[in-house]
Amino acid sequence: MIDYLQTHAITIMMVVVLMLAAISAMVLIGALYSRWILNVTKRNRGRKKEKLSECVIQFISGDIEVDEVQQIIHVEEDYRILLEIINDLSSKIDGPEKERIADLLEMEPIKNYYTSRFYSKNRLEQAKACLYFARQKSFHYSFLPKVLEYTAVDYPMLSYAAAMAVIVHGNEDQKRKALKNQLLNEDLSDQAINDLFVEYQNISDGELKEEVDIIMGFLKENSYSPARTALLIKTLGELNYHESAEFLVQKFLSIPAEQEYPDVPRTLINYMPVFATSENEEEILNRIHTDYSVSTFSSVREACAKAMGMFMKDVSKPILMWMLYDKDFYVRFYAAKSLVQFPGVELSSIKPEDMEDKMWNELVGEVEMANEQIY
Amino acid sequence: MDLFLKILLYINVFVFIYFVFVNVSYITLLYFSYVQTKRSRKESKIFRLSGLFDSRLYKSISILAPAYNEEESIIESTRALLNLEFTDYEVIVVNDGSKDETLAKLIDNFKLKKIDRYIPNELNCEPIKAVYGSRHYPNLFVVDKENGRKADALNAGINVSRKDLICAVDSDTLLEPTVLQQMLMAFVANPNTVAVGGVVRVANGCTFNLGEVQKVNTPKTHIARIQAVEYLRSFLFGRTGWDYFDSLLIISGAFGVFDRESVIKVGGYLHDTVGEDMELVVRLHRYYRDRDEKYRIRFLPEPVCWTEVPESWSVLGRQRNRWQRGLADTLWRHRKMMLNPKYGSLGMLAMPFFLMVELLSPIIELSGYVLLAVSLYLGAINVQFALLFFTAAVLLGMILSVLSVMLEELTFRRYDRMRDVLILILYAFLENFGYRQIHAWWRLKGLIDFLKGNKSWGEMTRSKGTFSS
Amino acid sequence: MSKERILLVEDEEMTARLILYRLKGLGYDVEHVKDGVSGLEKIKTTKPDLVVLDVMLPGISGFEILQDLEEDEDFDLSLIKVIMLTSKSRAEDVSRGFGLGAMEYVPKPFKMDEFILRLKRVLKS
Repeated sequence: MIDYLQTHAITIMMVVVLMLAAISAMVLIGALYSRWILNVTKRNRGRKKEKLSECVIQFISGDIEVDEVQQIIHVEEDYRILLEIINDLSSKIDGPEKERIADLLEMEPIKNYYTSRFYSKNRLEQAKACLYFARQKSFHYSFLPKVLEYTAVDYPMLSYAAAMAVIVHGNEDQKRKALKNQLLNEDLSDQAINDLFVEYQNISDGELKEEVDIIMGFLKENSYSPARTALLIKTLGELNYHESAEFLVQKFLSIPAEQEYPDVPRTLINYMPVFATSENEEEILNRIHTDYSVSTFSSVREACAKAMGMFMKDVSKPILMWMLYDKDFYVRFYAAKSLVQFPGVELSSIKPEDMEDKMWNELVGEVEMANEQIY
Repeated sequence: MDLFLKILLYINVFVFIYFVFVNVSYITLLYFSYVQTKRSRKESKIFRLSGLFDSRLYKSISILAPAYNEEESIIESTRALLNLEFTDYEVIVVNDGSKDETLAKLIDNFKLKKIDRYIPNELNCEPIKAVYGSRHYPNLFVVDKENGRKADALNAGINVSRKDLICAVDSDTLLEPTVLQQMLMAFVANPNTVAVGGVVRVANGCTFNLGEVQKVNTPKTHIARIQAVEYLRSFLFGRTGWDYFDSLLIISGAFGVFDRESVIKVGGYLHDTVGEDMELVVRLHRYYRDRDEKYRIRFLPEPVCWTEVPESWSVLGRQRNRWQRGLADTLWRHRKMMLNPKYGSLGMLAMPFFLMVELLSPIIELSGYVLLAVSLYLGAINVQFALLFFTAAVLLGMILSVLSVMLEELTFRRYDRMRDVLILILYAFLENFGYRQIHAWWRLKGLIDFLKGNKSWGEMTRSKGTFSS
Repeated sequence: MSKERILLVEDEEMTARLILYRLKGLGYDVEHVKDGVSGLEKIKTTKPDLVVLDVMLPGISGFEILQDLEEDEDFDLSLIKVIMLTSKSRAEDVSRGFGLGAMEYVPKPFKMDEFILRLKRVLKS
């Protein structure tokens, strides 16, 4: 082999040199060409975008109609520009103007564009198509079964986009299935699930009850991970609906004290002050005192400290005082913060005797800073 | 004597094959990086398109900016950091025991006051003397501490931070305004992400205004121009390539975002190494793979930060020496992972590659040249072979560098002018004809220094802000 | 009645276009700048009747502009009415805006009609 190489050394070298020259030439020519083309297209694009922007603004303000916008759109690139403009606007405005934007998306070519993407083999393209469907006003229901299938894939972007589309256009059953699939997908972020629930509520004409029912339904199934269950509880809690109050209180009172993960008890405790009634208050507080103030999880103890500050019952005071010695800073911090909520309690008066000055000062400093108006 | 010549010949052949191997594998890596870049750009487009991602509600970031004797540029760089497009983030400047007016300038300019802030001692670091905050800049904090060098300063910053993610930057890094949003996408796309690296580009020669880059031009000096090509090749496309194989071994200390909890879990940055940025990443890999837990470490080619590269040969030499020592140190510390199937493509592909190609190459390359000369003189090899050798050592390398420029043109095309492309191509040639060899020499010294136990950072001189308009 | 002069400091293209279109349509004399530094300068030199100010701007932020104006002895901030229009809408940001002298704080995404209403109200006050 060595001999072969040596005899052909010069040829080999020339070949490589030629390749080098060819590649360099390609780069140069490509660069020249692309810059030239780019400059031209950039200018044209700039002008087109300018025109379209003005047009879109007039349209959403109600001064012109769709066909007038359609008139200045000729090629596929124009549609891309339009979509760029629409995306830019969508996140910044709300109200009737935003709805007018949805009208623009109904244009035939745009519809066709996304429909063809839906049938591509690429997951991302499918996801884009699903997101488009989600923003459409009208929608061909024949797509739904396939979209529903997509909600069950692992790839989070596709499953999320598909779920969004189902929530906007599907029936109750399909919506439930789509949401359930997302809850089961551990690769999906909390934020995405939150977005889906928000959309769900928007679609149900703002009827809280629908969303509450569906979430309670999921919680009753008891088949989701602690993190997901906590998310469901949090979402339910944020809705502040009276029916869910009783449900959450019951859940709190019935779960076993020994938990493998802190997520669920912590989240439940956070909402107890909001949902407790005079009837069950004592029972709840009792549970907080005996079972959860001593939890091995600092996040749970922290939640207890916060909750006790909101209940503001004298019976909690000794527990809070005891929490000032907790090994976790945030537990101590919230205990101190809660204590000063009580009438007549001054920070200076509650310093535990055997606590180091330095430690105490830090605590005081933090509490004061939290209470101070920074702006 | 004949036998001796024969042996020389074989050694030369070995070096020849080595050169071919190195350059071809880099070219392969470049190909995969192209694929990955395309994929990554598509993904980031779809994120922007949708409500998939509202930074308002997702994760918060602490930017950690260690500073040592930066009085010239500290105000400017801090201002730039405070003006990024991101909703929930804080900037923690760590004054690492500066001997100049860095702290005083900060206090004066941002109207800082000492505040009482609880600092859990989750990571070891030199004593923190005080933490400063400001009513006017509620998301700016300055930590004043005893000198302990960069890793130590970062650990202190991590201790003080209360956000979900930390973003470690160098004091002369300029981040583009949307950078945090873009980095965040990786964490949103996959909740298991623990670290994300971004691109570092050469700021020399570019014009900046209001903290943003206005014009991207090639630098004016030879040395910086060579580095411009080098950064394209190894930092932009090299790293993206490794991301394709899901075995990113290194995230630049100039710019990287990490999940705070995870960094604390593995123990933070290591003090007694000069390659603390790479070491942390490898340790993260190891931690999660040892426990068989799902995790991801990504490199995103879109988010860009700009940094000033050395324009003096001596400073550059010291920098590369340090990088080599860092590399050697990390590979040695984690040698258990080398060729260990338990660590997947990381242990079987990436680490051996770095060992063979990055670490040992200076030895093989330089001795190769010497041997070539000797062999030629002694007649162990003939001119034809020498030409072959030249082809493999230099010409193939040129192809590699030019391909990197081509990739840049195909993907990001940040250099506006035609003139810059010409310069890049020219320096792609020059990079392999002189610089590569000098670079190998620096790295060889670095390796020797490592074996001798040298742990110093050397003096880094900073010229006046590249980023002032 | 002379037209009120409004200065819009906003770097987002479409948002700026929309606001300019509507305000001009209503008969106001509107000027537009795209970054913080020019915004600050314009306020100081032209002294508009009303400023619609975004927070996230290149250069210096909307908050910093207000701070600068407040501290400037030659400038009387109370003569200028400020509406903040921004995607930074956490409670702390809102109170910061008001604390610095803004009369209205409109978070994005915003409803155009509501925005105009609030703007008119501020002008009248």
